[in-house]
Amino acid sequence: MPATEDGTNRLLDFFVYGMLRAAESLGNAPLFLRTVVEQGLRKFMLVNLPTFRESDNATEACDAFTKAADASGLFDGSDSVFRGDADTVHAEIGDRCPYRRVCTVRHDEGLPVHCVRTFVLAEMLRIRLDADFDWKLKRFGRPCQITLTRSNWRKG
Amino acid sequence: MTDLWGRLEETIEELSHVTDIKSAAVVRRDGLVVTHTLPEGVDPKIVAAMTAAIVGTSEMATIQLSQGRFVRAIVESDHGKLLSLGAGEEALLVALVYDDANLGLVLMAMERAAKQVERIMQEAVSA
Repeated sequence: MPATEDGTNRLLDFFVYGMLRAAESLGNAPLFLRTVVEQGLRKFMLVNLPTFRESDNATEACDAFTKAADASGLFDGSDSVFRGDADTVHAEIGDRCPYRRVCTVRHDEGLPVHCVRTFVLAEMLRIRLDADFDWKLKRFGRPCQITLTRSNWRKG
Repeated sequence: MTDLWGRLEETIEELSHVTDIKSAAVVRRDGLVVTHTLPEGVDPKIVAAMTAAIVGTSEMATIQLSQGRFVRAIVESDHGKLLSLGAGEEALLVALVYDDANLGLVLMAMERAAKQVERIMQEAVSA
């Protein structure tokens, strides 16, 4: 186990960076990342958020999930803001995102930024609201701006 | 939207009735199911994720080997073949066919269906 918090952070950075590069070299980073997030999130929610009960409103659900993850000590979600309604979420994620360092490295290398936080939110909505959400990283910056929209391609 | 859904399902139903095709599905490139006629006992979620992985890896192999544009992936096995190809930017079309299938006929039907799926999904985006 790394001796310092900085060591843990760097370990996470290298692992996520390597995982994304490996996924890209195999041809489908979004599929790989979505699958990793889905499996990890199911376990995380089972172990860490067993009592998490969300609203049917996607914006409220994203806000509640982020606050619950923050309260569980996973990350600092205090700089995440969610606006929108039941079907569309406009999210802003600030500097305290634990993936920001990796995203910055990828951005500086001219590689696409795959927002892990948004994958997590989309999967959380899929698992808990039984709804597919398409998402788009509208802007990588301070803060990052993301939109999640309920997908048309889901049977009612 | 209901009409577009109906057309999409109709396209897959029609494809599934082509001689030598056992079942078919439309899946998203990120591995989620859109619609399918897969038989009971087959998990469509697994098929969707596997198909997206097969196509993604095949496309990358095509690029790495400088073989031009990826056209389709064919997985042959003892009891049948799994064919998958792109249906626009967002979707993939997959069909499970008999092992002794007339591939020419099947591929013609699949390519026609893939174009239809692409058109329908484009209409959905612009709707």
